[in-house]
Amino acid sequence: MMRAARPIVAAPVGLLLLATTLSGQTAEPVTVADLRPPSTPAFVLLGVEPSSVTRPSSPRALAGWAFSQVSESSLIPRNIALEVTPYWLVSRPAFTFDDYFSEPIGGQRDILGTLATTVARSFALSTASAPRGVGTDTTTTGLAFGASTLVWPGRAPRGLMDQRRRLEAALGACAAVDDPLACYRETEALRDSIRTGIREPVGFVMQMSGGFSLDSPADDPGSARWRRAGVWISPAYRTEGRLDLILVGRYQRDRGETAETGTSELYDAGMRLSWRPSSAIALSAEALQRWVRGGPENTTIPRWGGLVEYRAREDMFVFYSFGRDFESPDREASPLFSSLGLSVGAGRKPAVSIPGAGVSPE
Amino acid sequence: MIHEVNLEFEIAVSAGDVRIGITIGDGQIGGTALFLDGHPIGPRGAITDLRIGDGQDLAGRALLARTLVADVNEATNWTSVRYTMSTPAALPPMTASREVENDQEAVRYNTTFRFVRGGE
Repeated sequence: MMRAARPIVAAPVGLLLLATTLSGQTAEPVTVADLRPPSTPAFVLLGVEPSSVTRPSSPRALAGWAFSQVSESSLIPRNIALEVTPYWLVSRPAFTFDDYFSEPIGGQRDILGTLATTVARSFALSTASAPRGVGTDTTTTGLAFGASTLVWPGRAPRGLMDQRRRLEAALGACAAVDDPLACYRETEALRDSIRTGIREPVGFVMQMSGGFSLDSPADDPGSARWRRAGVWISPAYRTEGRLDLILVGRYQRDRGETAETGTSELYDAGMRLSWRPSSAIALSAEALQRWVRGGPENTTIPRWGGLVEYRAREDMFVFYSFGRDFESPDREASPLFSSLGLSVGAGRKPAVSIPGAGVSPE
Repeated sequence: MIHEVNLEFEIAVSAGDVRIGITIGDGQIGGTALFLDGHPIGPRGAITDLRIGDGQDLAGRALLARTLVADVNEATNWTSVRYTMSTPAALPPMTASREVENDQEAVRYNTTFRFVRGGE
């Protein structure tokens, strides 16, 4: 299913003062970032963005949630959204800070040990359900299940272990005083920086996700049929010098709304190279290739684009993007584009999407 | 907010080095301040196989380990501390855990080791 059209340059938190487009565009661009493995694939496959997600942190909380769903009047509960990481349902005293990374300070860890630890601590399950209108039928419930995991964790960024030692020393000093709260608050910036370091390892990192969704007409589990399935994989390499290379691959299989529309398959492969030589300038380029099989026709669709972004002020960005987007359905407009924009945002860094590619997953 | 956990262990000691190591679990970060009979000893921060003294000298004395653990792991609010001690024979690890209610809170583990004279 294709999404509705929108401009190729998006400045969601800003005021677009100038934007020129050399060609007409017809659908929402899909970027390499959009194709990275989602942490909650069930939500993506069902096409929902739940406002509230249940994330139980203990077996008791998980059991309580499950019991509350069983006691609902509907056989298949509607409007649920659950994400659970089984490893962290209980305390893990043996999991130390070093275990986040493939190369702990003071030694190497064996490959299988790193793999096992990484998958165990990051493996997450997600499930969601939502009412789905299929034609005139409003009794259908969509239900999706998914799993995601980090396969390889990468290394600790330079400086993170030094920050860790500084925080250990600061916490040791705080621990000694009778009322440590004020002292502890003074470590907030350091703690925030460490959290960022954990989230953004360097070196080789790989993530995977997968899942499937079902349609259950008339709240009847016996008549449920599969609707969509997808698998994502993304190896990436990030250097200390702010150079990122991200590869993405995705396979998605969709069953049509009716027997006539048939089943379609999407294969996506893409890469993105980005470089931030200074805090004010960012350069990036990406390319995507999509293969569509089944449906009305089999097609192969290439996409590519580039973006130069300059931060003129803390809340002001100037950007220039160019590339080749998907072809317009009327076949008249050129797929080439070039645009210049200015974004004034309320946030620290407005999210500016790079136009890259065509048919959307939802 | 900082939660407090108070623990007490009795440790039989004899002649030979008494050492302590403190490991922070659950992917969190913590730092420790040690007090022997109320007097600060050792470094502030990470404690790795630190010699406390000779068992014969420590009998009848108390070691207080105050460890402040910060929640830096976005995947869990659990915190835990594992104490390993040798007297000089290695003792089974002693572990304490506490979950905080909200992200970025902290737990201070106040653990007292009372040394008593053990068999030679």
